[in-house]
Amino acid sequence: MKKIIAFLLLFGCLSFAGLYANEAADKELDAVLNSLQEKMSAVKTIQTDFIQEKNLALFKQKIVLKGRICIQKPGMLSWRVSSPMRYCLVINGATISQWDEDTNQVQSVSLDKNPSIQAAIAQMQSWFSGTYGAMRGDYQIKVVDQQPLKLEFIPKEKSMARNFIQQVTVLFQADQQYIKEIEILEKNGDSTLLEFINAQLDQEIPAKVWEVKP
Amino acid sequence: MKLTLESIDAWIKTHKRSILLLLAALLSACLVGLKFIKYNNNIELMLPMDKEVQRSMRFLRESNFSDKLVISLKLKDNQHNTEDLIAATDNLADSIHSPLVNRVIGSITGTDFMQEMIFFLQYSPQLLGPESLDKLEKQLTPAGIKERLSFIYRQSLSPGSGFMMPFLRADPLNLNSPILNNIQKLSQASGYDITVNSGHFLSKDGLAAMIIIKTSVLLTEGFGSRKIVDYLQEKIKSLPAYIGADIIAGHIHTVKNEDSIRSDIRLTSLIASFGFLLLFLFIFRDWRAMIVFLMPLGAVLVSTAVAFLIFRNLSYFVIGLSSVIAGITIDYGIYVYMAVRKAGNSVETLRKIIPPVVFGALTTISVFAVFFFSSVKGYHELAFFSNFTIILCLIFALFILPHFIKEEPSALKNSAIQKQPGKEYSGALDNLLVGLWMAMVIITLVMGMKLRFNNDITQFDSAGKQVAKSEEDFRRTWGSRDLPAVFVVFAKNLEEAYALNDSIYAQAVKAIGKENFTSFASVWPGARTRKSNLEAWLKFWNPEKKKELEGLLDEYGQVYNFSADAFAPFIRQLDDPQAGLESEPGQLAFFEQLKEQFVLKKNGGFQILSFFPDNNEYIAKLSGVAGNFPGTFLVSRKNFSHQVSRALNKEFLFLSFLALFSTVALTFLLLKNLRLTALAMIPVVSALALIAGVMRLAGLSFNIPGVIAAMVVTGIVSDYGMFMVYYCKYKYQTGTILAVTLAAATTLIGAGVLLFAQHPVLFTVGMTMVTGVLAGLLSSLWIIPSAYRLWKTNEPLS
Repeated sequence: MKKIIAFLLLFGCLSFAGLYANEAADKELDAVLNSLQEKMSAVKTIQTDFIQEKNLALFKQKIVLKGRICIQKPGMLSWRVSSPMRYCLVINGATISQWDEDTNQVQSVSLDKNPSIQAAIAQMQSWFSGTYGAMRGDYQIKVVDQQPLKLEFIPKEKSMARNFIQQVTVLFQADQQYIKEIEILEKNGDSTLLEFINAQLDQEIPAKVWEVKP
Repeated sequence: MKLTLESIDAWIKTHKRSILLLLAALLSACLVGLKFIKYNNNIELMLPMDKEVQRSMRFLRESNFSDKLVISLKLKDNQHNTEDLIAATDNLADSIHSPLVNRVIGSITGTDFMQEMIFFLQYSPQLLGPESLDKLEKQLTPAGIKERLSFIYRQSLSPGSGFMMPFLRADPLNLNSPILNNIQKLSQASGYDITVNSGHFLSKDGLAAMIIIKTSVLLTEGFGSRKIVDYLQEKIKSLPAYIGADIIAGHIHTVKNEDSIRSDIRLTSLIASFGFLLLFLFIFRDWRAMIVFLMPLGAVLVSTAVAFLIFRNLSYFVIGLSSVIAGITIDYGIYVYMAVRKAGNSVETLRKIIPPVVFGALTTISVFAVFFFSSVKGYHELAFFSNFTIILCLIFALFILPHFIKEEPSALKNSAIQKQPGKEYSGALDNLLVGLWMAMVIITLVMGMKLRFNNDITQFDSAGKQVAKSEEDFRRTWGSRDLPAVFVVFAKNLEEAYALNDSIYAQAVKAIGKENFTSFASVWPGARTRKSNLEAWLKFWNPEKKKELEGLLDEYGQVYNFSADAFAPFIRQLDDPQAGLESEPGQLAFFEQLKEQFVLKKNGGFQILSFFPDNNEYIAKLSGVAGNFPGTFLVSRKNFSHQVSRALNKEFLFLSFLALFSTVALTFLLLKNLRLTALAMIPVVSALALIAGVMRLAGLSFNIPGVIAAMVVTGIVSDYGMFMVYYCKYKYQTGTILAVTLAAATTLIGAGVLLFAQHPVLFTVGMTMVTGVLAGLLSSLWIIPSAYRLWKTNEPLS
């Protein structure tokens, strides 16, 4: 009987300790996300070069894209690839436009009529703008490193992201002003590493950036 | 003993006390029984037994959208965001547990949507028709392949490429695009703009969320509807202050309509009682007159109990008209009361009053009795309820009431009811009155010819402003498209139903275009069609063709550095289409949800629904298609109104004729003279002309309850005509003019109170009856005596 009581006490303490540890981790995560939110929500514009390495089953080898991303809150994004082919995607409010040098054609689509694209774009904007607090409903978030800050996101059982994402890792710059790199592991084994270079925050973005055709 | 008026009168006189006790016991029993009476608010009671109408109604009752309630949640302030809304939605959805609720759908999370879609596309060889293979043939050229591969490469440069890659690898030739488009079209068949965010149903602006509740309560069940609506409203109260919520469902209409008609019954009964009381206190100034007032109330009470025993439940609409019935039946008491007060309670008095009172009652009874010939069950109830009340009141008024009334001290004895000489009027005044009346009748009839007939059954909905506002908000938030019409296919087994649906889809697309016809056949055809598609697919992808494609993909993929197995998922499908013909992809949640909207399991078979815009052009064209396939039919709100209207118009033409004929025939039987009968019809003509003219002037449209009320008016005002002509002919001093005036006053009170009703049916009845009775009364008092004198001087009457 004593053994049972001792076991129960031990079990109870362990459970309590586990609970306490979880609470402590939650508090730490809250603090980190709140601090990020505070810093990044104040940022109105972001302009940064990028290098994207894609390991896709579609290609024989790794494909490397180079280009520039510009974001202006709320709702404007420009994704301009300069290499290996010139390609541009601009989101301006409710319209998404694409251009590429191969066809030299501009295609525009209304986001209102394409809820799936809208959802994908919303996800992308969330990643780039750093508002990760809002993602807690969809992802299990973990602080992997504090200096430099590295966060790991695993889609929750019930989230839509679980359909195609296995894990996302976000590494921040030392001053935590902006993201250094985002790594996405997809369910089908494909992976993407997106590195941000020379990020400029809150500087005026030239109007030309929002023209999809160069 | 021979049954004579004298013997009845003597028997009642000696058994007065026993009769009173018996009546008191009967009324007490009926009063207690009121508690156990079940009322019915089902609109079906008021619909004709026409085959098409009943089929549409049965479909609407049993369809899968009649068992759903929607809760629309909305953010009320700017301090909270979509995340807060989703959290509140989840909390509310999780809190809903009731035996009345079968399922709560607040999100589609947990569904591996992308994987499901990719799995479903394994069925594409069975789903793609001959037109897709024709298109494919044209695409299988070096230029065509180069273009597609270039497109795939470009897509890989976009930021959201990870989302598209599985699809591009499984379908490099974009063969599945029509299937995906059809799935998207089918998923939007509800007519609302819903976006899925974090697996939740959100509005485009992300400020509103939707929860769908599936219930076992049919929307025609008043009691169950109230329970489920009350339960959900209680749950909604637990939402945070920054979230507003509305319940949108047919069940709300059931509850609100019931509330509205209940409150109308309460209000109109109260006002009518007050009106009757004032009338008797100030005009009759005799406490015995209270018996006249209580007589119709007692009769209504007994009729309610008896009608319930016969019909098992009572329509609210019928009970709602009880104040009108009371207003009509009180007339017989008034006529008898006036006669007995004037001439004393004698058999002689009774003998003089019986013919006009009985024939008056008979005309009204005959009008209500014609409703027994209607195919509308609710009208049978109305006919029984009204006639039973009239008969009870008539018996009471003629045989029991006189024993409780004392004659006025100044009243003349029996000699008083002998003929009295009439007053002399100038012929010029009579001519003027009759001329003016004729002019008025002609003018109002001409005006009435432009009266619009409204056949929309939604006009009888009285759910109230709050519900209308909630529904308007809902439409604004979730899109405002009109509800589509439905093409219904029925077969004994699912495979037959699918095959029939395929044939109809092919014809419907030809008739109104693919973009206007949303059919499950566009995503999931029947086994025969799928087998034929699969055979065509396998024949198309012969080894040479397959080799040719592989060669082209390999050759032109080099430029883009595509791997050898870049399109392996697609190539595998060419060799061996993995999905079998026998099974449905039932394990896929998205497919099951889609199928649930379109395929319904019914007793003894399956129904498959297709949707199309509810307009006359498409209904006409698709009616032609339905005509080619026995057992199929269309259901549309507009068409339904036309069906009801067509069936009722046919019926009411016959019923109106019958009512008019019986009124004229009974009047003739009493007066035994064609000319006097024509004179007695003056109030009927006046009432019908005025009803038409006034409705037109008031900008109102006429409808079926209006027609019913007009028929009842015919029966009532013909009584006034009969009494006045009887009076003009015999000059019996039985207080006819005052009696007719008071009778009309009580009917006006009974019908007039309906003008205070919120329910449109009751209001229409009130408006029609007040106009008709007023016109009938005035023409009886002013026109009949003049017309009688004019005709009498020209030609002697029998």
